[in-house]
Amino acid sequence: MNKLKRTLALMAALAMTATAFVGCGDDEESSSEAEESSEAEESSEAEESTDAEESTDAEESSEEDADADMDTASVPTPDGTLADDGDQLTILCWTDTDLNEMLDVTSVENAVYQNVGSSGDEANEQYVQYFSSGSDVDLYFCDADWTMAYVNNDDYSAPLSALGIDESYYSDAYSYTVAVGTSDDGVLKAASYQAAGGVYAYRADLAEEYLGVTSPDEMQEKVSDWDTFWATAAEVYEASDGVTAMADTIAGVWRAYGCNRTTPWVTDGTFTYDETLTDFIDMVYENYSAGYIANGIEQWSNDWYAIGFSTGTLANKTMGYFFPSWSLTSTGQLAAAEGYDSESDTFDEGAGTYGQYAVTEGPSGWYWGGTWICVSPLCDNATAAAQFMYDMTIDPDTMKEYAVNHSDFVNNQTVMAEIIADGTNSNNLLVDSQDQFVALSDSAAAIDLDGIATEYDGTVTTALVDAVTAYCTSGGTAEECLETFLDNAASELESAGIVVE
Amino acid sequence: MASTAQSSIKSVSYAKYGYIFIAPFFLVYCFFQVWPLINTFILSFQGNGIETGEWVGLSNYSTILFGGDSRGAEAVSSDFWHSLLNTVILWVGNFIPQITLSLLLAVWFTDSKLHIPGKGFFKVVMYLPNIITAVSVSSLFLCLISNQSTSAINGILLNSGRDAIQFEGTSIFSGDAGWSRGIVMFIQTWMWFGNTMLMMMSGIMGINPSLFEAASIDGASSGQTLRRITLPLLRPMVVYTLITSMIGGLQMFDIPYLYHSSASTINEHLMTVACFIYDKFHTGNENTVSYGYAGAASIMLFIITIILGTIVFRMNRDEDEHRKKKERKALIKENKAKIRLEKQGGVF
Repeated sequence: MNKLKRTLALMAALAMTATAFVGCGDDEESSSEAEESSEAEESSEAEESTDAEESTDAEESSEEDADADMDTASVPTPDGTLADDGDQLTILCWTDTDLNEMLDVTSVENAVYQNVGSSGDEANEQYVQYFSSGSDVDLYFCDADWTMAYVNNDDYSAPLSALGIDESYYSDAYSYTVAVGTSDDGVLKAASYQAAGGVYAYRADLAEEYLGVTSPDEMQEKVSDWDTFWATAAEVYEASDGVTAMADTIAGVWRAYGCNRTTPWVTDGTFTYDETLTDFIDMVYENYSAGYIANGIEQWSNDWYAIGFSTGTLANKTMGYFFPSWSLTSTGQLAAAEGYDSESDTFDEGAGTYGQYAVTEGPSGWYWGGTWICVSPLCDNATAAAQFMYDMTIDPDTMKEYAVNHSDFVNNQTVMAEIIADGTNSNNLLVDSQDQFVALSDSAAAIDLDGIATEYDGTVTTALVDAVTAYCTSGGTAEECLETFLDNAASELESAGIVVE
Repeated sequence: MASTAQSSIKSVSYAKYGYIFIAPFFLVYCFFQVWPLINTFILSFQGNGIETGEWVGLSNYSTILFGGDSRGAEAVSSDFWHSLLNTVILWVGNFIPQITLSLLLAVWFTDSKLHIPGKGFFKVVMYLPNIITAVSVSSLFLCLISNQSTSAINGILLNSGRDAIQFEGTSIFSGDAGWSRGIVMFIQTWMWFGNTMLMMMSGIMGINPSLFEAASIDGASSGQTLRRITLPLLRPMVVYTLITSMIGGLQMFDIPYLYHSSASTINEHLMTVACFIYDKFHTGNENTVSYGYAGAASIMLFIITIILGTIVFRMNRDEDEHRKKKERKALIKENKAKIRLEKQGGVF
């Protein structure tokens, strides 16, 4: 009896120890079951949809193959530096809305994804942990703010040439996406499936009331460059008795204005900046004080959306927003500014601005965010990876299908021109179901980031917006603001060995 | 006088089972607590960002404490000192009202002359904030009082035609800083005064009631009783509360970290040392992540805690008792010397 008791106690103790250490193990085993089931569902879904579409697909592609560019007609062949014996193409991501749509259109059949399930900001930390756990990964998605950190790190990213892809495949892509995907030593290591150009989304009803503007083209004349933009802001401010600001947030203005930079933030390990920065500080301070930028509003807060309503305590506080392409989807930020509630998936009629917005290119071409696809050096499915990259970033047919299904602005100028010419895309969030692709394609074509993009852009943007917001709300001088910004940036970049003068 | 049976029983040792039973805890503890602690020391002597893993000696410490030649080093140092200042301000600002309020309530609740009805109810209600998680508390306060137009206070202001107040402030030098710090101090006080009150009450109830009786027979006023009996005898409990609260206060993280309605950054004047550490090791990519600074700041916090803890402990030590202890030790020493001398055949 005593022995039994002892054995039982010992077993209980051992079981407790074992469970305590289970968390340390490779999480692949525990997650694989769940994954398999979701994968099973997914693949069956994917199969169904591909089955259904296959016949039409085949027809379409055979038609278009004939007149397609020779460059992009053939699926690239991997050069053999990456293994090719894996059984599944594993894609790492932090949100699966885009990927689900992609799996519907790609011809890769054995693709699964691992969703680290965090915000875009934090996903790179999750990735590092995932990579160090040794779990299988072939491709992974990167946010614009930190794509370059991975691109410049040979431990985490393989050159696209390993998949047989080189720059010539991207002659139709927006050039800035190639610039971001190219490492400091000139190797192409990431490709983007979307071009996240930005537009100025404005309240068409307020524009008519305050400015007498009735079409996006007329509005574009009112905001064609920054001087006219602020002149119009003054007009709006007076016409609305000081209620309506022209721009939504300081950060939004920076996203649009900052793409005018001609100097990268970091050159050869030294922090550099040009007069774009000092001009920006002066411009924002002047216009914020004048009330042309909505006061006390920060991006991603509830108030950010509430200023886009025509009702409530913050009604009509802003004339419009600086929004990138991914904000204009049916569940994006524009929808939120029209009363969309993601929890209940419905629009709040009380917001009063549903379908009241229109988009126009705005003062300058700019971009915000976007997602790049990188290849892991541990990739063991080179052929499938090449096929997926080809389908999503090169092949006009699948890219068009994805763009039409998902209303996403894909990274292919020919495809986007075709969709615009077809006139099939319409956005219910906009007045007269305007096609946002027109303005977006003008904006995306105007972006030139050659030699300006660095891996530190996200960090520097945060430091700058913090410093300028402090300057605008609590006073000081422009010099102090610049110093605060440089201190913020220096503190963040210290560990990377960047020298800030 | 032990019989053989008894001595054989004695030789059966059950100690090993004890060890087996406590082994799981120690295994887990060593793995998840002791090793990370040691590793923090190791990391604090290693580099940051691209130099992670390389030995750099004391340079992390010298950078966070004294800055350096570059603007970056100066900025890291000033961030650290700012965060330390914030921590001290936030802790002092919540400890003083907290201890005053708890002491007052504890005295009232334990006073046999006051017959407060529903004491149990009040105790429970006052303790309740402590069992709500910090995340819920901060989101509750963000709904009540924050930058958001939807927060209760700003909603009232806006609806009555006034401007919204930026309760969270923006910059460290701005006049608005007081709001956010004050709100966090209030939250901390509100969360912890119930807990401290129960501590004080147990302390007061541990005082011999005959002392209170004697005092009331001798005609002491309640103020005199408080000053001459309750407070001096409560000192160990107050010291205990001070030390635990100070250790907790120096590590203050959750509420300051969570009290901001914008998605991006931690509020600058709520950046405590713990937030600084989190910020340094957790954000950025592997080129900008700073395990070294985070480790060095953790060790600095550890050292500061030890120093302050020792000071508080010494300040509140019973001086009489301490002197007597010293005298006793000296006597024993003297005696030993005498015995040694005698053994050696000397004459004292």
